[in-house]
Formats: sequence, C-alpha cells, structure tokens
Amino acid sequence: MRLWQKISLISLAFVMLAIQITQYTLLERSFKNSVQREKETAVAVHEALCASLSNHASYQRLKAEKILLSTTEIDELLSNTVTPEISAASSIHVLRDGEIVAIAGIDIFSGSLEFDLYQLTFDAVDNNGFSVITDIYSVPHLVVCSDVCIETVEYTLFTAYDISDIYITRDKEITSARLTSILYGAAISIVLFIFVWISLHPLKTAVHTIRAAANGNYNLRVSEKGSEEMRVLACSVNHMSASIDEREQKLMETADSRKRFADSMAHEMKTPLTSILGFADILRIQRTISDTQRREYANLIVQEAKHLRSLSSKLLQLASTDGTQLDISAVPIEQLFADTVASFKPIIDQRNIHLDVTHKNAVLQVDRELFLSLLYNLVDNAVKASADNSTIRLIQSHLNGHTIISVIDEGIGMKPDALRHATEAFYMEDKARSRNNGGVGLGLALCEDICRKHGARMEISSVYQKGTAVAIYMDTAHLSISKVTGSKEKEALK
Amino acid sequence: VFRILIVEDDINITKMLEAALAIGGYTFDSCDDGNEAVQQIRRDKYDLVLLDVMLPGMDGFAVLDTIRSLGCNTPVIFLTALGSVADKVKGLRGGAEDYIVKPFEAMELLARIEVVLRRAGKGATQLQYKDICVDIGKHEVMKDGKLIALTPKEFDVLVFFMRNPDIVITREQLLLNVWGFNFTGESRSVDIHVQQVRRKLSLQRSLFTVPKIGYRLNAWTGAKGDFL
Repeated sequence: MRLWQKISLISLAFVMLAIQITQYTLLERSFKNSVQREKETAVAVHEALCASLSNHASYQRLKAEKILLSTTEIDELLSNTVTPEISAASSIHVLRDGEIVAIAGIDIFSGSLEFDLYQLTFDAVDNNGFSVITDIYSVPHLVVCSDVCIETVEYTLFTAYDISDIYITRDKEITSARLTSILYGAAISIVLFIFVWISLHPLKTAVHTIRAAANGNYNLRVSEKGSEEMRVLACSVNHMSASIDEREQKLMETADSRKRFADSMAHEMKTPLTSILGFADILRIQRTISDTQRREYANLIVQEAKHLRSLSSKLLQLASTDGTQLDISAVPIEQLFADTVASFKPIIDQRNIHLDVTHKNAVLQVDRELFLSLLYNLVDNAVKASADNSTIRLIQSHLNGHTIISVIDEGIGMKPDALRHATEAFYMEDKARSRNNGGVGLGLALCEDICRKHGARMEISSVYQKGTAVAIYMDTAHLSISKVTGSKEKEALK
Repeated sequence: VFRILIVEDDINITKMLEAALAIGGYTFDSCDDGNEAVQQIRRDKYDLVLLDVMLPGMDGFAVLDTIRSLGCNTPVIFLTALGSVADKVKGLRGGAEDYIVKPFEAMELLARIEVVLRRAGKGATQLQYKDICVDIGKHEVMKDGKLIALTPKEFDVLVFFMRNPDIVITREQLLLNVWGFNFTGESRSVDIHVQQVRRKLSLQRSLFTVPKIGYRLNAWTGAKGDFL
C-alpha cells in the first residue's frame, strides 16, 4: 500500500472512531435524560394516583358515614374505582398481601412476563417504592411501584407507562447519526486523500529527481515548496544533485586537463621527432644530395634533437616535482639568490643585463633544489624577455607576515590574453621565438607546481611592451609545517 | 606534375615535407594557418592537401569541414601527433583520404601520397622505364615489345620501384606497400621477389641492393639512355 493511502486510511479510521464515540456518548446521555424525565413524570402521576385513591377512599368512608371501612369494602371500592381512565398510566394494579385487588389496562403479572412479582413486591415493601424499565409484550414500559396506605390498610400500587416513544426516538437518532457519520466520513476521506496526496507529492518529484540523478542527469531540481519536511527533503535532494553535479564537473575538468596535457605533450614531443625522422630518412634514401642540403638537414636534425632534449629535461623536472617528498631545510635567501645569479653570469655579462638583487636576509624553509629551479626558471624567463642593457630585479621583502620574492624585468611583457594562459603547460605566446630561445612552454607551469608544493602562491602581472613582474607569496606560518604536509601528501600518493 | 599544399605550422616539419615532396617529384606550396589554408585551397587548384591537425587560426578538422562544405573535393591527408583510434576515426569520418601519425618516415609519406592520388584517379596507369612498359590497368609488363610473365606480387614490386625511382626502398616499406600491413612472413621473401624481378626484366645494372638498407632503382633519364 502506498504511504499516502496508508496515512489517509489510518487518519480516517481514527476520525471515524472519534465521531462514533462522541455520537454514542451524546445519544446515550440524551436518552438517559429522556428516561429520567419519563421517570419523574411517571412518579408524579403515580403519586397523584396514590393520593387520589386515598382521598377517594376517605371520601367514600365519609359518604357512608362510617368510622372505618372494612378491608373488603376498600377492596371493592378500589376494584370499582381503578379504571384505565383515572390515570395516564397504561396499566394499574393494586395489590394487598400479594393478591391483586384491582386491575386496569394490561395485566403485567400474567402470561410469560419476565416480571418477577414476588421479588418486586418484596423490594417494594423494603424500599417503599421503586421504578423499573421492562418489556411488557415486547413494548418497553416504565413500571412504578409503591406502597400506599388506604384507610389504614397497606396496599401496593403498580403503574406501568409505555415509554416506547423514547426508544423509537433513540433508534431514529442512532440511524440518522450513522447516516451523517457515513456522509461526513466520505467527505472527510476525500479531503484527507487529496490533502495527504498533495502533501506527499514532493516525495514523488524527489524520487523522480533522484532516479534521474542515478541515470546521470544532475540538472533536475525539486521545487522547495510545501511542508517543512518536504522542503528539507527537496533541499537535501537538490543539494545532493548539485554536489554530484559539481563533483562530476570537477572530475571532467580534471580529465579534460589531463587529456589536454597528454595531447599537448604528444604534439610537443612528436613535432621535433617528425622533423628528425623525416630529415634522417631523406638523408638515408636520397641517392644524390648536395652538400648544402646535407648540412642544412643535419643542422635541423641537431636543432630539433636539442629541443627534444630540453623538453625531456623539463618534463623530467615536472615529473620529479610531482609526487616526490619535499626535502625541506632552512636555506638563507642570500644563498639562493647568489646561486641563481651565478648560473646566469655568462649570459647577463654577454648581453650586459644588470641583475639587481635586494634581500632582507630571510631564511626560508624550502626544498633547496626545487626552489633554485623555481628561481632559475623565473630569471631565465626574465632574461629571455629582456633586451640587452636592461635591468632585472630580484627582490625579497616582507609584507603582513608573508615573505615575498619577486622577479621583475623591463622586457617585452605579455598581452592580457597570454597572461591568462601563462601557467598552462605547453602554452607559448610566440612559438617561434620560444623555440629559438630553447623554450618548451613548461617553465611557468613548473614554477607554479613548485610554489603549490611549498604552499606558496605565484602571481604574475605584466604590461605589454613594458615588462613582467612575478611575485611569490610565501606564508611563513605555513612554511614551518610544510614538512608535515609534504609527508602526508606522500602517504596519500602511496 | 601534381601540386600539393602543405598546411603545417612547424617550420622545420614544413621544410622536411618540402624536401620529401621534392624527392617524389611533386610541386608544392605551404602555409601555416588554418584560415589561410582555406583561402588558398579555394583559390588554387591542388591535387592533394597535407593538413596538420593542430593549427593556429582554425584546426585541421575545421579546415576539412569548411572546404568540404564549400564543395571542394581535393583529397586530404591528415598529419597529426594525435595517434588514438578515436582521432583517426574523427579524421577519416570528416572526409580525409588518409591519416599519417607523426613522426613518420619520408618514404612512408610518399607512398601514402601515391596511394591517395591513385585512388583519386590521378595516378598514372602506364609507367615507362627504359624499354620496360607497364600497364597497371591491364596488369601487363612489356619489355622490348615482348610480354613478360610476372606473378602478382612480382608485378607489385616492379610497379613500386618504378613509382619511386632513385630512392632507397627498405624491405619494411616493400612489405608494407606490397604485402600489406598485416603480413607476418619473413623479409626473405622480399629478397626473392626482388631477385625474380631483376632477373626477369634484366635489371641487374639498374636495380641495386643497398647494403643493410634495401634496394634502389636508379633513375632513368630517358633520352640519354643513362641508367646508372
């Protein structure tokens, strides 16, 4: 059974039960009241009859001018007097010592009546009057009984009243109550069904959405309306879809960037290889070849092979920064700068480039080899971008708890579009120029990787034709724990 | 003489392609940009386009789509570093005639070009070498007006040499182009076939064995009769 049906049916059952109990209680109370009223009336009539019989006897005695009437006389008098007309009662019996003296209306003591005369008489004597409801010939009657003293003689008077009216009324009321409760029940059940169905409808849409998500469609969203619980459910489902969607996007992006990297790498590796293999094959298969041609082809082969060599060494560096544990040690910045400058000495002397070094004697917690490679790459880029006789500045400073290392040149700069892609692997703004300089488009990607490994941030700003500044922000607080992170990363990799 | 357009952005590869095409006796133009390539293909009549996939401006697939949608049916051979099956399928579905994965040997390029040109109905159906006349359509070889009986494989070997005169042909290339890609036999059978061709057509003085590499059919300059 569906949940909404279950809820509706259970609610309906309880509502109906409550209605029935209420109706029954109300009806029962009103019935009791009726009976009580009937009883009071009956008792009043009964007492009036008692009084009138007593008076009548007194009157007859006075009329007969006797001091005392004999029992027989009174019996006779009573049997003559008691007729159905003298009272509203449907049946009147007068008994003396358990013997019927006078009777009017239905004989309640004859036939197969369940009325236990003697028992009742006994009770009556004992209690000086009672009333009871009983069926007389299948008609409910109220029987009132009391002792009455007529002219010093003890009599027992029974009067019975037809109270079938209140029973009929009660039956009618019960029937009508049942009818109305059925009608109300039907109405309530319809309303309940509709209400519960509407309330639980969000469940259906939520299930639909989850199913869609299971089938790979994460774009469906549930409308966040309805009751609190449904809103929470819808919200959760939406949140689930959204986060799955986001994860998938991220995964796809990662896969995409991997594919892009693999494609670019294939392209970058195979391009020089194509020239090498092609020219080598031409040299091999051609029978006659001029000296100039031979030299040109051989030159091109050497050039491309060199390019391949620098590409492979950069790729090796990149691969070795990935997934290897950092060998963190305290390295004075002075030493790092000095080593970097030393390795550029020949070329900057030759091109008369001034390398201006400023530092605050900081001691960095870094992997010496990687950090040198980072500085080397940045200065190498700056040297390549700079014209002869220009200045490159290598600066270390402190700012807000950060150690900043900047490499600033006055070279050719980058256009905004190129700046955006600068750290992408194999991105080269000017392929021909990069290749002539021995660039393979991996330098800045490598630098960013090294920075990331050290928990540092690299920022490049550049103005076209004016120069480029690369700043590395190192969080000193982060650096002190970077050794721990490094080992954790290593473990994660395993 | 066939005209071929080289579309390649790497200057050294372009030089290499030019040198290779010169060996094959083709004339060529080159360009290094996708958009420019489309213009050039529309403007000039080329017999074949060698098209790099990764190009500035417009990539090779887009260039192919564009020229095909312009109603140009020039055969196209893709040159690409992307060697996955999916990439090949993409290229060939797009209407390329062939797909050469970088890096490749100059000889392989020439052989593929030849196949594509022939398939496009542009290759020669009759070949002449000295007094030998080969009719590819009829599958006949005449020497001095006399019919020479060759087995189908010997015939293919002869045609391959005549199509690529003066070039050293390796046993692998012969295997690949005559026996097909999936041939798993020995290269010894290549030698036997070459010897048969040499003997049957008296090519002892023109069809040379190049030690450790393969064979070479020296160019025949025709009128002079100099076929050293």
